[in-house]
Amino acid sequence: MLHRNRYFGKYGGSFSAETLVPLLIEIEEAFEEFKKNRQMKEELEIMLKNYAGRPTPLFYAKNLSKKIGIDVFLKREDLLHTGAHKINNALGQMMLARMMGKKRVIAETGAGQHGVATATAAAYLGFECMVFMGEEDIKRQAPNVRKMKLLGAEVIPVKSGSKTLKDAINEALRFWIANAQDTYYLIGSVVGPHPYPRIVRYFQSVIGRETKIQFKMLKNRLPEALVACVGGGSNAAGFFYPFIDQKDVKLFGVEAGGSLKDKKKNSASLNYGKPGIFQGCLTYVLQDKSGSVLEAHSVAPGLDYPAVGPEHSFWKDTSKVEYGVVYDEEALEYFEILSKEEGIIPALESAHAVAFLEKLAKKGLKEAVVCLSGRGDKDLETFFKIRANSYQ
Amino acid sequence: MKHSLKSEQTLINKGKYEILRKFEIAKKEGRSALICYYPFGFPDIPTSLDIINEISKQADLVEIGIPFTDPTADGKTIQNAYEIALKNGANINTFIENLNHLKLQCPGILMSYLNPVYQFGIEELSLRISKKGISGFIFPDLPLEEKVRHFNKINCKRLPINLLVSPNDSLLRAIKIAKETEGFVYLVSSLGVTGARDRFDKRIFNIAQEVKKSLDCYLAVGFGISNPEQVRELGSTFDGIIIGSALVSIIEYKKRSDNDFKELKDFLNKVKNNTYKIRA
Ligand SMILES: Cc1ncc(COP(=O)(O)O)c(C=O)c1O
Repeated sequence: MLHRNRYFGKYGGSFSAETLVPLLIEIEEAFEEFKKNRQMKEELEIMLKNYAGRPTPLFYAKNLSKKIGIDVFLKREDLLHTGAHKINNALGQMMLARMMGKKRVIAETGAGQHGVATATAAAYLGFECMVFMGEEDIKRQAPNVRKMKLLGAEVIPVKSGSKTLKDAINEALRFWIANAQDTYYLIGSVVGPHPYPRIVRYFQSVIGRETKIQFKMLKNRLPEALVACVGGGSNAAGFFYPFIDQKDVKLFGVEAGGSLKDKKKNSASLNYGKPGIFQGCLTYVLQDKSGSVLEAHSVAPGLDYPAVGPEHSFWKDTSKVEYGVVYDEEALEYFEILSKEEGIIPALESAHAVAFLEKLAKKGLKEAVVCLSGRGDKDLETFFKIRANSYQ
Repeated sequence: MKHSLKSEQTLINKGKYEILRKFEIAKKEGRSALICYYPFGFPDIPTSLDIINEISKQADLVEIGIPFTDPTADGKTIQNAYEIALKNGANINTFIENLNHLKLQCPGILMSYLNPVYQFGIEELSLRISKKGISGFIFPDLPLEEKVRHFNKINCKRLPINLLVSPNDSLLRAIKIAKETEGFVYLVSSLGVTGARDRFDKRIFNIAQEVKKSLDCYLAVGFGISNPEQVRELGSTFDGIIIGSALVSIIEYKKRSDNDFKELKDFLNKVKNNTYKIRA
């Protein structure tokens, strides 16, 4: 039976095809076993350290602080192997796949970061790997597609629907339903049916745990606020979770508002959506009156998703976290500002979190730690296409 | 189970009775029940309603598919049909608006992903559609545990929910589901999404046998059944045969001149003939 504990308040659950239920139960059992197994946890820890590059630095961004008028610390997940927080989860879940004796892993990807992380972990740990990616994203994130191929993964172009992240998940689920016996689905965010939201949050919580220790070493107290971008919500969940019951730390999730020129098309499901059942769970979803799911939009492909992890829905309703919106134009501006001020090129996803600092400064906050979830190499083409006139 | 449903006229019991009665009749006639699926709105709204009405003359039960943007349990054929249907404006709300054009000759079953039903509200929906000959639901994304959690409240005024069993399920789980289903048991023929295929998972025969041993219930098999030969083959084990994508394909490739659905009717005739069990 599926575990009773599969909800976050009223959100979450396991709304999946019956064919997948026995697998979800098996994954949950592997996960529970992993959590109890010291040897395996140590093995993961060593991989995170020597292979992925943990712990990541907590960096005081002095120039940016001065410019915006709020003390800014960056949790440098962008410095990890493969360039984003996604590798924390990929290595972790790969251990579950190994425990279950699966030979093949499949993954979906939007920005390509989760695809690259999964392909990397598969190459290292000896799994066959297939990555589903929307055709639209294949166009926007060409460097990551080449990386996945070089790493030995098969990239499957997804032509259905909006040809972005949600359709890649649909296609991965369909493939999984047909190949459930030998395949592990390594989902890339805190989304999907139970137990995935819990598993991914568990493996990403290393971000928040490190931050807590590092900040204490620096200031001997907790930070005033944390800020993270929210696509599916994995970097934010892992960052926030160790602080979630700390009432003196303000938590801010930043959703993608899409372009200022067309505010109707966005990816801010917590701000503009309503509860619905989508891709395996009950959560906030961008949808119309008939329950059709809307196409999302964001200049950041990793945020381009019409729903959000169910735990964030719970955190929103219980006011544990406040969720704001940053538009494409603002994110692009801060993509440039962080590059010029600190010599750090952020992922467009992470640039949403950085841009939000301006709003926090206006609210009168004095200090914030930003989860810099990834680096911006993959976004250079997008950026220069939009800013063609300013750089000749 | 099937003998105790005559009296109380709650929506659940009434729907259950209507569905199970069709299985009983088929059994008496020495055949398996023919259950046909067709998506609302494909190739357009009026034509789809004509087709559904036409199908209901031959079938024992007709499943009406509500188009959804993200049909994760469906293969290419139904995905394409849903995409076109959505472009035609077909959805749960326009289905309700068109209920008066539904002239069903057999009980209907609403087949929908959960979200449209969740948004509409299952009680209000049940009330509206039960007046137009629809007797139950099938939700491809509702497993046993979530059905129990969300839909088993006492006094829930809704139509019965028919649950699915997969070849992946243990016998124990299959039996649990069979106990909880409120009409028949929908056994998925093989691992994978909907769409034509030529082989079925061998485990389904064992599951069917074992479930029947411990429980008095009707089992229908579906997913990928596309020709009359398969109907004959599976009819010897199962109480009902479900055909979906195959009907959609016929309409997809329909010649322009075929205005009275001749090909569809011929196919249904052949299939229906093959539901009769051959006596050894
Ligand atoms: C760098 C980076 N940040 C954030 C995200 C958004 O995902 P999540 O909200 O799960 O952290 C992605 C997704 O691809 C990403 O690549």
